[in-house]
Amino acid sequence: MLFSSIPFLYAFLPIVLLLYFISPRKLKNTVLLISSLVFYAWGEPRYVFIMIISVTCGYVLGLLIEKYRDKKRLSRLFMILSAVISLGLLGYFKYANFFISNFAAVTGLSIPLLRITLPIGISFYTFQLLSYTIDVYRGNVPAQKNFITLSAYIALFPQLIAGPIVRYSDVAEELQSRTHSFKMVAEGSRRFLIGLGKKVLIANVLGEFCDTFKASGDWSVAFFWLYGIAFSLHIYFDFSGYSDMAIGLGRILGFNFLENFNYPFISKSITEFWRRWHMSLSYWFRDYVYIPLGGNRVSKARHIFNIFVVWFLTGFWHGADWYFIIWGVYFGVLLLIEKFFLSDLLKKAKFVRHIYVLFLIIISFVIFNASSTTEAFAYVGRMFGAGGLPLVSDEFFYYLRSLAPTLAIAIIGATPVVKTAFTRLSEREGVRRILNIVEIPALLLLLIVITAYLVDGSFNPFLYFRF
Amino acid sequence: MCDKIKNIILTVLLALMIFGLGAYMLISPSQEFSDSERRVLAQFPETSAKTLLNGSFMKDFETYTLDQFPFRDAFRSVKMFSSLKVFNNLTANDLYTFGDYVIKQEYPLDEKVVQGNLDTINRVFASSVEGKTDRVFFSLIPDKNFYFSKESGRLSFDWDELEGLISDKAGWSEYIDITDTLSGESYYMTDTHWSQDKILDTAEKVLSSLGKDMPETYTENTLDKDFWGVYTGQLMLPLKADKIVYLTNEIIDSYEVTSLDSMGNQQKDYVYNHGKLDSKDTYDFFMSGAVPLVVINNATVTDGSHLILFRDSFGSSLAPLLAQCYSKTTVIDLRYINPSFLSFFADFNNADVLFMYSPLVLNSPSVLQG
Repeated sequence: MLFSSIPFLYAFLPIVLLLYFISPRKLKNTVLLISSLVFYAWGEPRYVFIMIISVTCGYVLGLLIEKYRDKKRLSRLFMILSAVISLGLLGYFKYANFFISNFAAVTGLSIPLLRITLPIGISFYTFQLLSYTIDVYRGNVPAQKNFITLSAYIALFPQLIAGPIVRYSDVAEELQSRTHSFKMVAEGSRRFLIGLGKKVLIANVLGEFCDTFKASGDWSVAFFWLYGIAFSLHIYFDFSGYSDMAIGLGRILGFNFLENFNYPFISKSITEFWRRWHMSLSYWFRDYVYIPLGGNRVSKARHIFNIFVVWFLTGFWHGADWYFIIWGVYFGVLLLIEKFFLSDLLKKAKFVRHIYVLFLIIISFVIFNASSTTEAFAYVGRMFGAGGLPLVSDEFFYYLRSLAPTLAIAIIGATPVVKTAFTRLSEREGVRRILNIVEIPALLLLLIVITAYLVDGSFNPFLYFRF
Repeated sequence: MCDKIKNIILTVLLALMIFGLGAYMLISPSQEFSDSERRVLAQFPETSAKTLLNGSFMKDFETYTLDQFPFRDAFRSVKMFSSLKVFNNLTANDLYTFGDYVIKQEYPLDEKVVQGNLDTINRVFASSVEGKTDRVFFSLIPDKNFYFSKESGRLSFDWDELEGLISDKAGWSEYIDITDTLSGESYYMTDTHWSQDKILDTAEKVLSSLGKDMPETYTENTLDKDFWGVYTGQLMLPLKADKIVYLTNEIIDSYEVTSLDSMGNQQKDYVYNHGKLDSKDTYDFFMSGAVPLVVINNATVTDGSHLILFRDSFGSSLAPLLAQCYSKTTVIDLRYINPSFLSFFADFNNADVLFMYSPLVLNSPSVLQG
């Protein structure tokens, strides 16, 4: 089920909130678990069992890891078994056909592909389960004795299918006991509505343009750059909007999820960009791959190797295709260049460094949104005039005019300008009272406009559902 | 207002909205038809283990909630206003306004779709027309966007490319270019179609190409009822109503008209059917709207001449003007009749055959039968 859908907003959500808030404290996790399973089964009736199997394995193995903590080998074996099961399921559903097709291409054999579809959210809940069993193994958190509580954590519908990757250690206490208040519900609602607005009013509009662009027969160099900019903003508003909704829903339900985005487009380097973009994934790879490999406390060659492993895996996590791997390795190379050559230069070039970051990020997202490796290279080439494209075209001017207000709002919204202004104004008591009065009709109006867009149209797939 | 009160008021109002609209949506009786969108609305889907497991229930339920959402038309108005007036998108759902006119941006041209439709027309020509007459004509009816796009800065497809496709695929016909006989104002403000009183030059040019002289005297009749065209319900913003003006003279008044209904039965009909004024689409006033085949007998022409017009809905208001110069005019709409039945209803021998279509039809997949 999509957050940005009428069934979620006006059927599922009110029913779940009603049941959740009227149920006694002891039953709240049960209500969350059941509603999360319904939420998941709504889009994936068959694959809900895969998730239940994953959670059951994680639960049993978590207990075994803790039980045999004193027997290091056995404890490690259970942790490895947990990783093999979780990654095995992910590998089968997400990567099997990638390996089969590549094996067939190399050997020349004709091997039929498996007829499987990717269970929604498997990349996210697999990483959450892994973090749980590894943290139990490391002794960072005690194993969860209550199956419903652990299941509610993994299946928690606000972050189930598109993140952020919430670690068990971050919400362990809140899973046992959490508070609820009008303040939390109001803050959560505001955050949810802002995220929904980002998704429906900005990301969907830019996403439709990107689809139109791909089908266009009137390409030009400028049109490719407009597409690159629009897609970069689209993916940011789509994914950060989803994260806002997840964080907001979590707050309504009494959870405090960590932030997943922090205005990445204002970064002064690619290194900083990845500290601001999809932070829950970056930190996951840092803590569960990069540091265990030795991080930067190893030889230079090994350090470079570690960075490449992390970025290879980051790319591969996003999709089972070579262009995703190229996308990941592209960032690995950029980070190494920055680390060894550009760090001093970037500190001095105050304006140019922003242009540098945006330029490379736009190119990266053009690669990311390709449908094949060939298309990725062709698109990047065309951004620089390959293929004899004209500099401008009619469609470029048309869409530039048509999207100008949306792009302007998106660009401003991708910076902390509005938030900073709001925070500063709120520091004055008189202005704060006025803002409080304005905020209520503004949010109601936002919900009305979002509902209007949803009622009128059906274009709202979340991009990160494919991961 | 202090933070605490704001939080309480905000929570209560948002809850009222989602609980209220949600309950209204699920409890209120379903509407069957949308007058503004002129379509049947989705009903509550079938609930069974099969539909739940294969996911079709969920998909259909989403469609149902969209179609049956309370105050759907009002919300659609908000969306169109927001899209066109707040975000300043040049089109919303491919529609835009220019002055008092609502125009659909028909773009881009899907070459494969056009070729598919022209292949259908080719098959009809080969099976029904070829060898029976060599007087075969083709004309493209420009849409409103053809005239408004340049001035309004919207996109329009390459007209020359479309004419080139027709030249390639329908080389057996003589092409009649009518673009110079029309302008943006030839069309209704709120509808796709042209207004009959504005297409006299078009009719004259077509008839002239067919070797006929069109009568010059007409009486303009205006229907009392306002005409709200198909774009009214799609745009959902305040518009000026159109008026339907229709042309009569002694010849047109003398027509004897029969039509074929969807079951294949012949019935008496009219070129201007006042009985259709209360239908969902007032434009059905012309030639009774979506009818597979209409025959207009004109007793004032006694030379036995026969015009066979393959047409879309634009032809409904043009056919009464063309029929003035023929003893018999057979008007065929390939969207509603299987061409294999044509030989039962139309004699193509020595007839003038005119294929006349707008790009709105040629650029739509699987519209024509055959």
